[in-house]
Amino acid sequence: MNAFVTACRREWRRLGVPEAVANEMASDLEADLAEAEADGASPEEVLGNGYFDPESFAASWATARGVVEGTPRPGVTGRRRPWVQLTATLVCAVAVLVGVVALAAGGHSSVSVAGVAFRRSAILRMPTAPAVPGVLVGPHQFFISHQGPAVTLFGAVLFLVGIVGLGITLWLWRPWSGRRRGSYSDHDIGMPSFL
Amino acid sequence: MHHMVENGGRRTQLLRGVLDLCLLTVMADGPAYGYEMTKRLGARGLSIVGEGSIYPLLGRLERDGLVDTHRAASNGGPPRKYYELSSRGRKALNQGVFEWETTRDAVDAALGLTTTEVTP
Repeated sequence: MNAFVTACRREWRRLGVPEAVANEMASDLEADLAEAEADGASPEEVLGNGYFDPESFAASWATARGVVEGTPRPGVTGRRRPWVQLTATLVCAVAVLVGVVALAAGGHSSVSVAGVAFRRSAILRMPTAPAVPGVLVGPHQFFISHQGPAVTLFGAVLFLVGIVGLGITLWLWRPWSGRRRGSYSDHDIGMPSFL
Repeated sequence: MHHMVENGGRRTQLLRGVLDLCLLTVMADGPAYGYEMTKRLGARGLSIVGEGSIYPLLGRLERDGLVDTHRAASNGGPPRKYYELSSRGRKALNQGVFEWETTRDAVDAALGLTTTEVTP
């Protein structure tokens, strides 16, 4: 096999080009180079400057065909859809705000742990559950008639989840986060990149 | 001091913008495989020696649906991949030729390469 074609095959294998496609490209290339040689034409007349850089040539061709692993298909961009990120950011921001409000409300009407313990013992002595709204907690399943701690807990969880989510979404908003690094870019292939 | 593009670089840049049109044009003469297109370009006076290869560009044209492909036996040789204009490619060629002519005429006028007749 032609040394140039061998080098191209090696590069296609490295890039994860499907075997069938690589075979097809190698076959065409080899046939063209053989015909050019029979015509007395130089390989450069067939391959242009690509003849001097088989790796770049092979990568450009495979990328242009869209057969390199990770290459976006036609009509599919590699970027995340902005509205999804925007929505996620807004939801997280709302969670943080609600969390802060809940923390403030819970803190304002909260009772001490000792108070809860006192109430627990008092409630357990009650013949029936209190009529006021409460939450079911703990292995002993008793009602807390005061919602302060639950609201505080709810607010804290919401605040933390919101903060973490907000951090992630803002990190994704970074200008460089949506770009693929270490792979070939094919947006400029009117001619190969080595031209 | 202005930076001028060297002659070779300018030719490369100009070709970069129109080589796809040249390929589509030679394909309009009939289906052709890679090297056959290189020969057709050469017959029209356009050599790619010292420039990039046409193969990545053919891949791009195929990917964009501007050409249709099929495999067929070549004259006495192994089966080759033949490229031919698709209907979408023909439209793109017509549009591209129009854009080229418009741009070329404007540049010619700017460079003073054409004379405009002024009626008295």
